[in-house]
Amino acid sequence: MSWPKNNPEPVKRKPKTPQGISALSKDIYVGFKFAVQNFLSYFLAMLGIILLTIIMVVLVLLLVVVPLIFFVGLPTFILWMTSFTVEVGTLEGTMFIAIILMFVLPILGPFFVAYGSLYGLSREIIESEATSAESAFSWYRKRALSLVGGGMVHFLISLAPFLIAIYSIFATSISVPTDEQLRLILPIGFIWIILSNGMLSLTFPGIIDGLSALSAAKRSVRLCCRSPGRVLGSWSVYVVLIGVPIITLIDDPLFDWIQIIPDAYLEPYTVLIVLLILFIVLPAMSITFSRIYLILTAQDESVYDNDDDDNEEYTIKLEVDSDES
Amino acid sequence: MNPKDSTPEIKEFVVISDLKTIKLLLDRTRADIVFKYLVNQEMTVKQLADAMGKKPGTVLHHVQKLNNSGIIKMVRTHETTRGIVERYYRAIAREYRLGITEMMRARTKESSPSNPVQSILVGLSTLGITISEADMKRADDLLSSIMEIEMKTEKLINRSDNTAFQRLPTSTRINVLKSMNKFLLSKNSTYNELIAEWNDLLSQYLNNGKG
Repeated sequence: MSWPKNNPEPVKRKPKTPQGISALSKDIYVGFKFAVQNFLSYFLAMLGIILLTIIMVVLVLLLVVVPLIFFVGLPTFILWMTSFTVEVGTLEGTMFIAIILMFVLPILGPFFVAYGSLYGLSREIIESEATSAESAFSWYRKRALSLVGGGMVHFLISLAPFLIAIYSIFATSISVPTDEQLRLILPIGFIWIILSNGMLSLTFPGIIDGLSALSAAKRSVRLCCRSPGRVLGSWSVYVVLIGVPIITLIDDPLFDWIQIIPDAYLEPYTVLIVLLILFIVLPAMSITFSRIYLILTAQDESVYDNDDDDNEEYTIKLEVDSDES
Repeated sequence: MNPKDSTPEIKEFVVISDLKTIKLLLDRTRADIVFKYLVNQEMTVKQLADAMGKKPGTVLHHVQKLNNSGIIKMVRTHETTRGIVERYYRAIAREYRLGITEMMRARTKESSPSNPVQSILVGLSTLGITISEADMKRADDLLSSIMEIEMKTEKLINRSDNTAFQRLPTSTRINVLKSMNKFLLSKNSTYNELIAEWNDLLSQYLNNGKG
């Protein structure tokens, strides 16, 4: 005896997100549009966060310095600090790297959280079209540890080849590379930094979405491998927008190979460029990647649709919003 | 507000016995998000924020907590022409019952004895029908076969993959089940023969005052 099915099988959807140059340009456009529209929120949030970050860095330093002064006494401490550079210079291999990381990472921690908080604001904007400056502090407080973890992942993966190189130089008999050799090595290093950070560019949106730092990094790499054009394409645009002016402004012969724009053109606008990068380009970048993350994860979970009327595949559950018609 | 009329598969009710989840729902805003809005329809963070008169950022934090605990789930992501990417959330059940798992287990144990056939045969004595030792095996076989067919028929109707049926309110579902069960059993000749035999047995005890 069998009973007829009175419920139709659910429609198997083929989730597909737009790819290519149109998707890329829309991601960048939406990023800048909302960054400009929410300029005041970002401006106030970043001012507050920068202030908070400075306080945090000072606190971290005090946590290390005060007990040290208490135990060894002020004169000994001053003596230690003045001879520190010389001491570090004489260290070799693992010890050298460990000392650098021990001092650099705690100081960078608050900056990672500050940068990650921007993604919190961007998530609010891209999901609900509104945010406020104080939201940044809420993300700062609620996701602090994961954001530090996310920053560490970025930092360590980016610098891993350099740390290995430094270790090799100190631990083995390899001679320190000359400036000539560095001019050849540095571009490869740059490509590594750009590529690895590009693949990890969805880590912070993932952390904001509630994932742990490692899970977010893994998911970022997976999403990037599935849609490399969209993720690395957007990343490259922001690398050019942020990286080129900054490197051009650095007056060091080592970076001569990347001097696309002559120094003379950019120098008068240094302050303007820095302000634009800080208050427009960085927020735009966080909005772009929050948007890409939400779209790609929706595809991941087969729950994506959009308002693209020309594409039937996207309109299975389409409803036109009255305020958009 | 733009509530979407879609019907994602949601359960009739869910029992929450995890203390952390119960604590999560003790917050007024989160309770409102689940019991006032998301049990009825799927909504975005913006729609929830507008409906509740709260900031989207605040609502987003609560929604993320509820989503991570599994009380609600993301059912759809919609990209608008303006570039906004809306995530639609929905409660996983129409009704939530808090921390009564143990009580329900106890009740189930009470109402479902380990050997229901034996319990019925013993229970009949309270109505003056005490099955004799000689008839006990026959009565046991008859009742077991009858209950087995009834259970099979019920399983045929009450299927978990029949989402349309499972979505019916509990009382309606029980009535539909009873009605269809009765119909299908009336068409089953083996069942009818067994029932006739069982009725004969009971009649003997009632008419002859055997018990």
